[in-house]
Amino acid sequence: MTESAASLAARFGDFVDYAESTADTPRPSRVTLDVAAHLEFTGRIVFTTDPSLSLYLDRGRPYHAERSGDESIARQLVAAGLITEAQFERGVVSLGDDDHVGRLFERDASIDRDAVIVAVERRRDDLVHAVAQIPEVALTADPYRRDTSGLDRWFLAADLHGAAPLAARASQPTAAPTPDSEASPAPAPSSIDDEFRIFWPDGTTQVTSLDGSHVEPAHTVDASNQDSSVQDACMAAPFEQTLAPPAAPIETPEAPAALDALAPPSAPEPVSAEPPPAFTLEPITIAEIPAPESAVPDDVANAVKRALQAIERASTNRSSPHAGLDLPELSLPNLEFAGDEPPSGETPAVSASPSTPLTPPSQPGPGAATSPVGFAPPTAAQRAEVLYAQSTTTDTITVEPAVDVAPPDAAPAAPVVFVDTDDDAADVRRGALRRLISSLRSDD
Amino acid sequence: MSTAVRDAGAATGGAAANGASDTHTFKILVTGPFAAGKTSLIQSVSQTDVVSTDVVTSGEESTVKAATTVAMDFGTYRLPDDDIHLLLFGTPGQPRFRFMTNILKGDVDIVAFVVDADARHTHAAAGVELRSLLADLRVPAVIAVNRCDDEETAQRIARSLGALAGEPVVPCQLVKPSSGRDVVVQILLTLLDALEELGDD
Repeated sequence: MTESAASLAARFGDFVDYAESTADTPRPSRVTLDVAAHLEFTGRIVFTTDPSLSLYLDRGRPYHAERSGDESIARQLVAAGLITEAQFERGVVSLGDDDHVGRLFERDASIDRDAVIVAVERRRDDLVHAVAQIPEVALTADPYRRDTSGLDRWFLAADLHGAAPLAARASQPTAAPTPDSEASPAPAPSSIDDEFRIFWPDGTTQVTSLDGSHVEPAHTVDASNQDSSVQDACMAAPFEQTLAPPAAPIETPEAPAALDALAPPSAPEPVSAEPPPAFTLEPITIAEIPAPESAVPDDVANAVKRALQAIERASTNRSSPHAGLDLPELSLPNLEFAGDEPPSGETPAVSASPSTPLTPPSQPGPGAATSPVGFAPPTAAQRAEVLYAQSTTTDTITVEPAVDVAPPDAAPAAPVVFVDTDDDAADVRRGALRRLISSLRSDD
Repeated sequence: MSTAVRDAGAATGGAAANGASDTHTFKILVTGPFAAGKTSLIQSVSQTDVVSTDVVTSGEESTVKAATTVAMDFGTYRLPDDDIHLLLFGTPGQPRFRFMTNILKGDVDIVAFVVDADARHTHAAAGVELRSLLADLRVPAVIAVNRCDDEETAQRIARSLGALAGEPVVPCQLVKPSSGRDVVVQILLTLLDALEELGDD
């Protein structure tokens, strides 16, 4: 009399052990399927028939079956007329000898998704049915082995590729609860030693514990050769996002229907119901505006110098996209920085003379530039200095000739032009590129 | 994704390298799997010896391995009479040094992705790398399919790796310098198109 699947599941506790036992004691395939369901096996089962049959399961549920020697799923879809060759080219990702159809529908929206899925399901069911008819057969089990065609992305997208199911699965016992096994926790599969390994197609391996508490990339990169910001952005954040424990408990259905996973997963609940901390900034109140100090013409001149030197530094900065430009003479009455004027509390901070009342800056000349495009924005102190200098030049302040401060009544004959317009610069750059192309062609 | 969408940074990468108003520098990032032909492509136009580098490991890795190859290729081409420079940066082919691509790609004008049509065993990694590259690319890209003479085959390989419809694909034989120069010309033409589209916008 054949031992029942429930009894076998309780006796072995691990499907891998059960599979190894079939080498000596072949069992009916339908019993094997039932044991896999009882033990919620995830991975591949290979039945040693001729040709061999492979069955891929997720938590005991078959989601894909294939027979050795068959063409790839993608080619079978073409042969069945469900997708055209053009759709094959667009939708299938050929990696080595594998035709990956996991992104088929995303890459080509013209494909009849329902027809393709129904066809694949029917083929799978036929093969599972064929497997179930095998009277006695040995088998091998390969835990956590997925099929290379990417079909799991269709049927198990929400389960296998999300972070939450990993943690949820880790909390589940491997063996189904039975009267014998309820007393003690079921052991985790010994073959993976509490680790979950992700084998990426590029050959790298990512290892983490099943509870997501430890993550270790298999290939570490010399930190001295790697920019820390890049490390932070590329390594830490994705791991934290994908392997962090779920914020809210996730209920795993006892027997999930394969296509149920196609529905988009609901958004996780926030970690805490408490509202995020609110920060309020007290309004800045200036109770008293300090009185301007006595007139110090040298200070004013120095302020103008510093402002102009800051602009010159910016213009000669090698990192500036407009570095090396020859600036025309600057005429302060034509100078106007973009942005708001400094707040009322900033202007008096600059040394000012009672004899030189603060007047509004003079308007720029007709041809004056409205903003020094391409320079770093001035600091508040620089802006205040220049504004103050503008106002003071309307009076009797004179500065050294090297500063190139024009008298206030001077006509704005030399408008400030800092850079070429964007269009001009782009034209020049395109022209340079064309000359480069011509030169390369002439080398031929 | 069309190049028009992704070329926002095209004008900034090279422009930032300009040292003077009459100096123009164009940077090409040559990337792809190991032994795909990246160095050959750079050598085909470089007027200087292509620089390849090996670095000694440091930190914790030095206890495991004394040295590792970074193989950062670098070649230049300068227009004889003008101050116009073409810089070609070749990234390491090893997946573990892919972070170099991430660092370099932000400051280049265009990316050339080289893949060997015959080396099918590299296509899986190439597809991963290409899709990763295209996911957040801000500059145009050209796919150069080495050891391939057939346009249709090159297109099929490039698309199978995940190249988008708007990405130019060039079949080439990079063992021949003339073919490499043709690829570079195509790369620069693509960049020119991108700049002109940027100007039109």
